[in-house]
Amino acid sequence: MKIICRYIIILCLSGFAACMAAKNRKTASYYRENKEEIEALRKTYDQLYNHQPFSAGFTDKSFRYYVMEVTTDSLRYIFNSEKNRRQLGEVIKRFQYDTTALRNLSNMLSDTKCLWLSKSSFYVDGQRETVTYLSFNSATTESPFVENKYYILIFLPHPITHPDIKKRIQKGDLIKIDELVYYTIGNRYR
Amino acid sequence: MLISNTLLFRALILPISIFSCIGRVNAQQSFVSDQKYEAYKKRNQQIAIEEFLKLDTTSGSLLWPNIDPVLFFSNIRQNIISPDKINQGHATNFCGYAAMTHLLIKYHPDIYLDQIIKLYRNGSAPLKKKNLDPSERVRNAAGTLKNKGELDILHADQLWFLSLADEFKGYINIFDHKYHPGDENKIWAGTNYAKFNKMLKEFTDDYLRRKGSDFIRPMTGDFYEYISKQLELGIVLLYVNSKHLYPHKFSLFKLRAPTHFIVQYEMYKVGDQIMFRYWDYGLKTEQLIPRKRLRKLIFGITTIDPQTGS
Repeated sequence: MKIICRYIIILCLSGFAACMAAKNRKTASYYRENKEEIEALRKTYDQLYNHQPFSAGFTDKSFRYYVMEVTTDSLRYIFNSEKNRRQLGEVIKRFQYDTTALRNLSNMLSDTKCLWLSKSSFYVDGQRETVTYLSFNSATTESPFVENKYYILIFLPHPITHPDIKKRIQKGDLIKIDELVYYTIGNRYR
Repeated sequence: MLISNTLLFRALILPISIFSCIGRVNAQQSFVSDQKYEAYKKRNQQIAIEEFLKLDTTSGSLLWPNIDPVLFFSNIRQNIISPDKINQGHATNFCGYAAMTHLLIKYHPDIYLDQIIKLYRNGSAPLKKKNLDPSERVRNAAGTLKNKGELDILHADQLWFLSLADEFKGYINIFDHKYHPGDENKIWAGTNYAKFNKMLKEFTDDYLRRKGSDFIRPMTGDFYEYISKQLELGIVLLYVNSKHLYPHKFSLFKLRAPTHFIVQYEMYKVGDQIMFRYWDYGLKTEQLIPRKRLRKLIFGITTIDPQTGS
């Protein structure tokens, strides 16, 4: 009987912790508080991306092992530092990335606990727009009982005032931080 | 709170210091699909290009009010020339249709051209046993999809994917038969394994060898050995659990179910891992996966011999 009671208490506490965690989500203030680090990260990424497009991030909660997806016109290479370290090194060498900048980027990614860093494109009146996005865990707490939601920062290259974008802001899909920075909470981090 | 992590730095720098080993990667025999069909593909592509050049590519179709003829025909031309670039778009459930279309255009571009032009001009196209006959809702929606990446301006692909999703139904679509705006991201557009194979059979006479299902993994023994053999026999399509294709440790559990269709092109052993080259999202992807993950990844294996029907 005691054991059953203990399990019930643990379950209740877990549920309570999960509910509490879900309330402590990152908002616009998270970006403002970490603006300097995030902007430095984005600038380094843009510099490396212009050399050869790629996405990068982590696949583990400890932020020890990272993944890099290098994209060419017809091929995408996906390697991680946990199990394909040699192949990852080969790809970095083949595309002649600035390894110092790449090292700085990896440090900044882990310092800010950024899960994924990439670019995405969409069309506004037939014109292609490309935005940079950074994904983080959406909860501010480190509790293990956190729902799987992600805080995604979106950086626009210039202000977009198209009605479609305004509609998404009104619906609450996109939340404005400033003229060029928005965030959303999503189920997928990449 | 920001926490520094020097392990990441080491992880990044270490590979660069061990480049001397790269030349000695112990790659074993490579199993490459596709190369034996090179002449067949080129001949069919040439026929399709010649047919395309005879078409009236300027006039629109009243049946598809939101399709821009310029975007429509340039998309068809691009598909015939570069079938690898076919992309299901961001946040859609069109992966089954995109994989099927990629295979159809790569090996039978003439059939694709004939069907899509009939669909555009007449609103329907005859298949082997049924008609591709999209509803008015779908005809009105084609050309209006937004926030789907490249698919936003690929009007032929919008028309084609929506028509396929509207016509072909599996048990997975039982609760959502009619198209409503936004359904391209939902179960309406989903494809199960049997439905996928049925689509392939409706368009061509290609010989198909199917192993697997939506719930139980194929009983073929060692997957590496089996797929390697299939790559020698024809084109290999895999029905996979994408959670194991792009794995991460952020969620507590992974749903044990297939979710994605990919076309397998090449595989070989590198040490105790497998170099896996496949097509999806308009690109070929190369990644190394452990043998154990290959086992968890695959739910369906379809081998296609495109020359048998001709």
